[in-house]
Amino acid sequence: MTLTPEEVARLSRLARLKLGEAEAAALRSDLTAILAKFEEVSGAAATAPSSPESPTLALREDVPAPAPPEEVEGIVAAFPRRKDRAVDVPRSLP
Amino acid sequence: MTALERVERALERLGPDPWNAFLHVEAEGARTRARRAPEGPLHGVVVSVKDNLAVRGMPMTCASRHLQGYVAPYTATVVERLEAAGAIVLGKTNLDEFACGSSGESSAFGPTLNPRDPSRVAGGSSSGAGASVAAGVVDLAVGSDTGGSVRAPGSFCGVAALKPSPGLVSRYGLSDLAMSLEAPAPMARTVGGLTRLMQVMAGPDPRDSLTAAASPFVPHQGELSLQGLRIGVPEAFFEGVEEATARPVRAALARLEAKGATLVGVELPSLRFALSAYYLLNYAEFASAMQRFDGTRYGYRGEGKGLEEAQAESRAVFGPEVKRRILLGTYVTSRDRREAWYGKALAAKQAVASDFQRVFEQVDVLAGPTMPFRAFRLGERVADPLAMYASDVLTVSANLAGVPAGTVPLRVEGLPVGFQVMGPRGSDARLLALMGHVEALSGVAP
Repeated sequence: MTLTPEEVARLSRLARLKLGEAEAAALRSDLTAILAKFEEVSGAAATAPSSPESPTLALREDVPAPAPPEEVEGIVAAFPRRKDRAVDVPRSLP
Repeated sequence: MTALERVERALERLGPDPWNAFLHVEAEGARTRARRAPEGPLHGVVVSVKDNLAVRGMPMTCASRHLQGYVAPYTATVVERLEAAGAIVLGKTNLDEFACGSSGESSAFGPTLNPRDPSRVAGGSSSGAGASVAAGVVDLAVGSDTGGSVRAPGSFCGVAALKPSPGLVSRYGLSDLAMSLEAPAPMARTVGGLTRLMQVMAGPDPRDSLTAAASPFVPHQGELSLQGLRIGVPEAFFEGVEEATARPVRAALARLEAKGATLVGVELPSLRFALSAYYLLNYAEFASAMQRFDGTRYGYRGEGKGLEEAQAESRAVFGPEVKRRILLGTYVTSRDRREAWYGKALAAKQAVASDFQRVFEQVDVLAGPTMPFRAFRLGERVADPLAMYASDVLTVSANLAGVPAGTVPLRVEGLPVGFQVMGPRGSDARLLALMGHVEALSGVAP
């Protein structure tokens, strides 16, 4: 298997990682080699005992998207101090 | 020797830190704490703490530019316990960035040099912890072990180390790499030092629910009899191992046999999947854990138009291995690939755990080399991630199986060699007792 430049670009967007052009090319090569090697893990499924841990979670599409407005309103409403749609928190940066 | 004299001796031995073992040395703070150190089992003992464990008021960088300047607002449970027992924290030790590495070379603040041969790596990710003990600066060190991160530097630097059973030592205050696989872990010049540390570090902590069922650590009572002790020796533990490592390990096994232990050949077929499964799970958990490092609440904040761009800029300062793992973790947990990669890795982990459970019905412990080779030269593997990952082939299975594992340095000419033992979950005290025998029969320590 070979990852395409577009796949690496999409992964970096999902992971919120800014990559330079040369960096992305080098990582594409590394990722392809690593995944090719670790494909051997697929053989483990046949030997593994059944496990209650087997994941069956339903997941949404992997697309970066803003949070729904009602979710934002809910979060803001839960804060003890707020102003309009902003919340008041202790200063964490100088 | 008073506590203050011990601190001065440690600072003198450290000097300008030619090994780059420490990222932060708290000389004045250590002197102050030495004057006020409470009485306790570790009164006046000078210790080092890996810089992925929080110590209130001290910098905590995880060896990343992203966290440069960050000061921990609270103290990890293990460090609280050490200080309550009278130990004095000298400073925070170097590591691979966010513990992502096997050699100690991926630190953003430069590699740790091996005190036994400064042209070689110290082993990782607890590179500074291993070097701080090997150089004689401190007697005891706290690192963390996710897939061999105290055992690798233990083997390369000639230091004893233990990866405890899951749930025995609290993870509260540990910046996680892969939380399901790791725990803070002790390193020491001798096995006796590991036992002293475990007596203080281990036990239940309400802030880490995995430790809820933990009992205080009680050392093995009396001398462990080697008569009839069944030591499993999987031939797979010696596959691809260099002769200079395999030979002293087999000689140490022979000495245990001569004292009454029985060596038993055992099979662990799932070992062939272990390295792949370990790394895939590591990537998945790490990518998730790293989402919080986006410059919003703490860490480096990059410039950018809008939140997403600013976050991407903030994360651009991560090193290559950290980026590699985040991208791979994102890949193997994405919706369409999750079953094929993450699901299979979980199945492989289950297979490894079942194999170990079956084998521990036949034998009391497993033994073999800790690392497939001795410390390699700086830069030798850093450009080839798969070659670097291969260093961990003998250590990761203990983390997947959830069992304790320790390393003891053997008496050899030249570069150090580690002897690794693994036991059933919860057998930490017995394992340390066996490591004491290995140390007495074949080790470097008195």
